[in-house]
Amino acid sequence: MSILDLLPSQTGIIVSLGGAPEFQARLIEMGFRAGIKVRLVQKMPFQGPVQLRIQNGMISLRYADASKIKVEIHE
Amino acid sequence: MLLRLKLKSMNNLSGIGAIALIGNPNSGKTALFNALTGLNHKVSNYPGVTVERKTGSCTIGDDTIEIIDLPGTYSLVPESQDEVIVAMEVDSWLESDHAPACIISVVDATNLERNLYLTSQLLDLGIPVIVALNMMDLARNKSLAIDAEKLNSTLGTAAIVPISARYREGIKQLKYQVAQTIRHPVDQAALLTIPDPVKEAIGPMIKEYKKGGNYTDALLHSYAIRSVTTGQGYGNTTINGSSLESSRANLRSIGFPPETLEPTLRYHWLDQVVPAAEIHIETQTRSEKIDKVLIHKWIGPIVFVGLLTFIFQAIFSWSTIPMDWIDSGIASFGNWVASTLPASVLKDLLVEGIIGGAGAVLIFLPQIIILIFFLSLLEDTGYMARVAIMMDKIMVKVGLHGRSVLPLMSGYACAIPGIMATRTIDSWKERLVTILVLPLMSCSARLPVYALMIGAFIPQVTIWGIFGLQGLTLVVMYFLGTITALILSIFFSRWVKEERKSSFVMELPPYRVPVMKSIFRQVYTRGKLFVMDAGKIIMAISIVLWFLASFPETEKGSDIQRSYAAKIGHAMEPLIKPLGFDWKIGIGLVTSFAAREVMVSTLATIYNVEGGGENVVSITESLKNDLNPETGEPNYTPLVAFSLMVFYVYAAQCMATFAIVKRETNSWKWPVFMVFYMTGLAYLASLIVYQGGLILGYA
Ligand SMILES: Nc1nc2c(ncn2[C@@H]2O[C@H](COP(=O)(O)OP(=O)(O)OP(=O)(O)O)[C@@H](O)[C@H]2O)c(=O)[nH]1
Repeated sequence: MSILDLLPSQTGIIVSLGGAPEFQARLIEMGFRAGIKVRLVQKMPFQGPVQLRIQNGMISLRYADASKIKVEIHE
Repeated sequence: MLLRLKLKSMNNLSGIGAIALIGNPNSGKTALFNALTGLNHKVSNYPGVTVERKTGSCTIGDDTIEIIDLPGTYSLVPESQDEVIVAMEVDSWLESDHAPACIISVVDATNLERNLYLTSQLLDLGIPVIVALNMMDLARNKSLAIDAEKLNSTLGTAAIVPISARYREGIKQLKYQVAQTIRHPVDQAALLTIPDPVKEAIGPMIKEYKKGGNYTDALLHSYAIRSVTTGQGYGNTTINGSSLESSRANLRSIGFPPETLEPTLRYHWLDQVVPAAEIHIETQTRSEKIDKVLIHKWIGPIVFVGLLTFIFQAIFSWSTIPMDWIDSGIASFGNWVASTLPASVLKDLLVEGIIGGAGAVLIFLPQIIILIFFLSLLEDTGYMARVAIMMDKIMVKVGLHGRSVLPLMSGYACAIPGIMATRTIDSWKERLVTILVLPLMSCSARLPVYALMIGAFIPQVTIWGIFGLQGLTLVVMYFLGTITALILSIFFSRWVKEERKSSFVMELPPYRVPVMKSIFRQVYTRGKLFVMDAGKIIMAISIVLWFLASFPETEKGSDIQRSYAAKIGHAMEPLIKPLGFDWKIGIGLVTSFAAREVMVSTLATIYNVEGGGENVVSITESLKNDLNPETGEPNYTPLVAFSLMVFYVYAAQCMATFAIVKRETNSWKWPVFMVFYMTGLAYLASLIVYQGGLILGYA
């Protein structure tokens, strides 16, 4: 499932990233990578950017970019 | 002694023996820089405030060391212009042997692992690295215990010093470690562990660098990995295509995507080095709770619009009393000068030209202070970063970027820092379009012109019980500029070509209680700049203008209608008459090419000369009472005021802006384009307002 399928405040574990390779490189630099926990904090209306909590940082990604991050639900 | 170093001039990149501060955006580099140097550079809670290299000096014991503050970056592989500056600086150190004596890697202790990513890249450079573990006050509150000793030995840094730059804790220990490191440099950096299969796979690239230059092992591996990742050459080695292709193919065959090699390897290493306890995910923080409201679907935009309206109302209503003080202060000073000095040309010049001209502009200082105060407050609390994400969707629709919002809003204060701030936008196209429309954001230099016209011609009434009509008119002017900027960016972004698709990875800093001292510092700096400009440009222009308006003298003394100034103004009239402007405004349009607020001082000087110089006249009153000698009708009406304000919304009138645009875009093409499109737009819009108004019967 995509990270966008999480409910607000739900936490997932990253399975894989997606998108252009350079963009993936930046995502990894920012802490996104397989096995890491992310919490979907909030989505903006009209498919605007989403807010994600990753480790102790809060990062905002565009809807289309975030949709390519696959996660599984963390209990 | 080793520490005694010559201070280098600002633009000297070599910086022997200097100390460089490098860290993620918003990690507190500038706060630390200020703590070390005693300087007051802008610290703010928005990732990407520092966009330039800045230097200062720091005393350690009896010695003075140069400190370099650099923009924040997440990586030495840059995405945006501000990050390019850091990468280039680091390259220049390695290529010229003028490396700093040590690097202070500023790390946000509350987000340790991500911050250490950059540190791990720095460790490969062969320059001693001291980690300043910043924001320890917050880490303690979250009860994050970090074993600095242990981390130091596993990373192989020269030292790890817990500090709190904002509260100036740990600065002494940091200085002590810097002195130690410079005196006894030891390279003990831990080597990035590269799994053997990967090392084998990128063998061709490693060989390339072995041939290419004399690099340390760490740097060699670092370069090789980075080249395979990005496809570019580093150091003074140009890589050849075949070794890149074969390395990449080898990697793919063992299931390693080459384009993400460097970050993957480094995090793999960091995961082992950084204590697992640090990688936990926080439960809902205070900032998240605030965000639930401030960027809520519906409440968020309402709060934003409400805040802006409030600010513009405040600009008008809070400033009246201090403006009256300044006004009467200047008037009585002028009158005192007028009555004490003996009659002479010099006295006329002083009273009519200088005091009248500069004074007319100084009055607007309170309004500018209020504007800057609120903008700094929005930024320092962390709210601006939220505005960027709330607006991203709309911004992309019009061809801009969520990161365009801060530059555009800084444009309300002044276009120049706004244009500098566009360096954080990672796509050139979106950056250029932002720069091109940014001068349409009404800057504080337009405020005096708006305020003068509104004060003189818009009645002070309240509508719907809460909004002052004057404040509302001001909002309309700002809105007009802003909406035009957004519409034009749609067109501009169709013309500018770029292959690369932009991305948006924006860190949201936690909400922080603003540091009042640093807000007042920003207000002071901008206020001072405004006063100095009023002092310099306006003074010079007022003097020239006074001469032009006072001479040639006729038998009856000076008659402004026959003066040189009137001649110039009258010559312009055919062009500007259709906009409703007379010769006095014409002169103002010419002089305000230097800076917009000069319009106000120009009118003041002209009226003071006309008034004969016994008293400093009120320019608002003069405008209202200025009658056309032939018809006896007032020269200026609310319609003329509107036409003039609209002209100022659009007109290109600030030399300094064009100089910066030239520098940032590296070509004359764009500033020249800007002058033409803005002036054309201004003329057209004013024409429509004035002629349209006449047709509708608003004489
Ligand atoms: N609580 C706390 N806040 C800090 C500390 N150091 C800096 N800050 C705050 O963190 C924010 C960012 O500080 P800056 O010094 O502007 O950060 P920077 O790294 O220069 O940021 P950029 O210019 O964006 O790269 C500001 O709001 C500071 O007040 C600290 O030790 N403790």
